[in-house]
Amino acid sequence: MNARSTTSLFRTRATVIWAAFVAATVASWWLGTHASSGEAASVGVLGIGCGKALFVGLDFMELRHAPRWLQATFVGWLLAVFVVLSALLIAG
Amino acid sequence: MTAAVAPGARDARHVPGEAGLWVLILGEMSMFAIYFAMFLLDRQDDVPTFRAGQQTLSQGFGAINTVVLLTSSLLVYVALAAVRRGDHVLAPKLFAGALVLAGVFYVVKAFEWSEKLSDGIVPTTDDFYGYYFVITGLHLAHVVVGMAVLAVLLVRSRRPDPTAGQLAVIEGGAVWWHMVDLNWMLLFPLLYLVH
Repeated sequence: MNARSTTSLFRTRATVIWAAFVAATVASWWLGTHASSGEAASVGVLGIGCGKALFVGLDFMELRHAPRWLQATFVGWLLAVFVVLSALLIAG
Repeated sequence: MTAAVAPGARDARHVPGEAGLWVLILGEMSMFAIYFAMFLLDRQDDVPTFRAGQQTLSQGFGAINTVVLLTSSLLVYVALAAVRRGDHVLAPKLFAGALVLAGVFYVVKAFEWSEKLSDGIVPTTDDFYGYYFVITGLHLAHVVVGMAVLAVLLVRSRRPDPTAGQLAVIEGGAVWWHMVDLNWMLLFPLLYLVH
């Protein structure tokens, strides 16, 4: 296949998400090494991680096009993980 | 998407891979979540030790590994699109690229660990390092399984005209790899970033 058709395969939502993730990773690395932090920042950083996990599921794993029961299970699981881990972070 | 969708189907939703695989995927993800919860619970009892341990971790390597895994997932995503488009020349190359990146992750992780070990830090040094080695070790084991999966996908994607069943296998393998990425998205902030 030619280079043009390869490029067209990359012109997709997933590539945009990937670029945003890379930017977010660099930003959070910078924040982690240059900014002071507290509980709110920790929950925020965890939230960003869960947000990334959400988009890995919806876009890379293609759950956006999955049956509603599977979408709901995944999103519900992630939400529960975020809530429980945040609570454990704050209670510390 | 399989080829078996009726024309005019109102809601052509599709389970990536197959339903049974998702029991495994959610089970594996839950295992990590339980370890994360245990980590945070034990952290409550000795925050100074956990903070001190975290300070010795390389956020730079962690960020590099995050970008490495994200990029490998993108390659797998595009490889699957190539398979569906019938491109059995490009898809193997993309799976190969993902496999190379998986190897990079492995090497970076091995280097991180060897740095710790040469500093005299072992899993039994304290609770933080116990969790660090166990959780990153479990994750690395999933990466190694993922590398075998990617190798299989590389070979299988060379076949022109995959059947719906063969396509489901490739989708399933891709889901496993994205799960490895997803677990890291949660692991990285918890172990490396939260103060």
